Amino acid sequence: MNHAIMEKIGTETMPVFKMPLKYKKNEASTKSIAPVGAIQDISTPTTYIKIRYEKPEVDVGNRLWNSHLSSLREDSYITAKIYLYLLKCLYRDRGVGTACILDPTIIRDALASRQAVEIYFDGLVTQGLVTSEIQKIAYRLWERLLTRYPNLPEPDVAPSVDNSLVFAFDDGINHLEFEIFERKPTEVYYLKRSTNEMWEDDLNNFDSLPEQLLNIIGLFVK
Amino acid sequence: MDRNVVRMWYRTSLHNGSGSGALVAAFELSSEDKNANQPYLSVFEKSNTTLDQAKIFTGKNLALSLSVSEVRELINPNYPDYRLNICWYRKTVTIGDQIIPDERPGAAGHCGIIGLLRPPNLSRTLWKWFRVRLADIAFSNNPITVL
Repeated sequence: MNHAIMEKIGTETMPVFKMPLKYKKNEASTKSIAPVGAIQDISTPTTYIKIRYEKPEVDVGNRLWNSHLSSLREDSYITAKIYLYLLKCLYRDRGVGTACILDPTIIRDALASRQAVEIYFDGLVTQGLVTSEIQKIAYRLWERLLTRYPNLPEPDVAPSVDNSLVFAFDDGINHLEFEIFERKPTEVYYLKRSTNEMWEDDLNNFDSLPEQLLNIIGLFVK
Repeated sequence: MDRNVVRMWYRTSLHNGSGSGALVAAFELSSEDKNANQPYLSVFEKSNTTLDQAKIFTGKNLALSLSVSEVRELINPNYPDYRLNICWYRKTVTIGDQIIPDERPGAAGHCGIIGLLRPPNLSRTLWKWFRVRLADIAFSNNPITVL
């Protein structure tokens, strides 16, 4: 054996169990909620695109723009990003301030939080803490979750042992973690601290997420 | 006297949420740890090892503090007889094919949390509870970034 046990620490007597949980106030939760109209643009891109689709056709007659939008089928963050870009271009071309259509602060914050996740994953790969394959799986999961819950806050992420990655949502009461591995299914674990209710599953892919998992994720949506 | 140990991890969390979140990653045994004769999670006792020394030993810059009593007193309500423990372990270094004691300053504080290798009769669900609770303790003790 490489390591010799030298002595044990302290006493084996077990005092009364006490764990002072001093959870920090979540800064994100103190942020004001974005105006409904603006955040809905990102939340439900496909629906919104359909609504907005008709108006420019009548008002502007920009058929090229419409054809771009109509080709967007995937209800995802990328779709929302492209849509916002096109929308801004459209209104800029018309000499109408985009601020009156979409609050630029909201757009910037929404995009920044998502880009932060992307940049963070890139950084982990650069540092050699996770593999690019893990990064792809993690980003696929993140995209999948955003598709279902566009207002989901960015996850807490940390590299784990053996190049795996932990991807977690935690509000102090509910803890949900995804442990992503390169060569085995992603392990999902949920703990409700107040009741010790637990749930666990393995995800082989993210195409069809279990209903129970989706319900749990819903707990973290602002 | 209750001692305090520190687990070093990467300060790469994306953000601080309201709970311990992804800090659970710091309390997972690596494959190498699991295959050791006596699997344990390396930590450093704070009166014998400074945070700077712990950073040098591990190459990690986030210090997660745990008191020994808090670790020993963790009781999973669904598995009340199972306890974690912390013991001193001599820190060693490998030079060529030789394993020798690490004599560097601070090496004397090397310890290990034992009990984190999942017993065959313990479900993964119950076992992961311990990781979350260890992370909760570390989070409540305010993780420190070692610059």
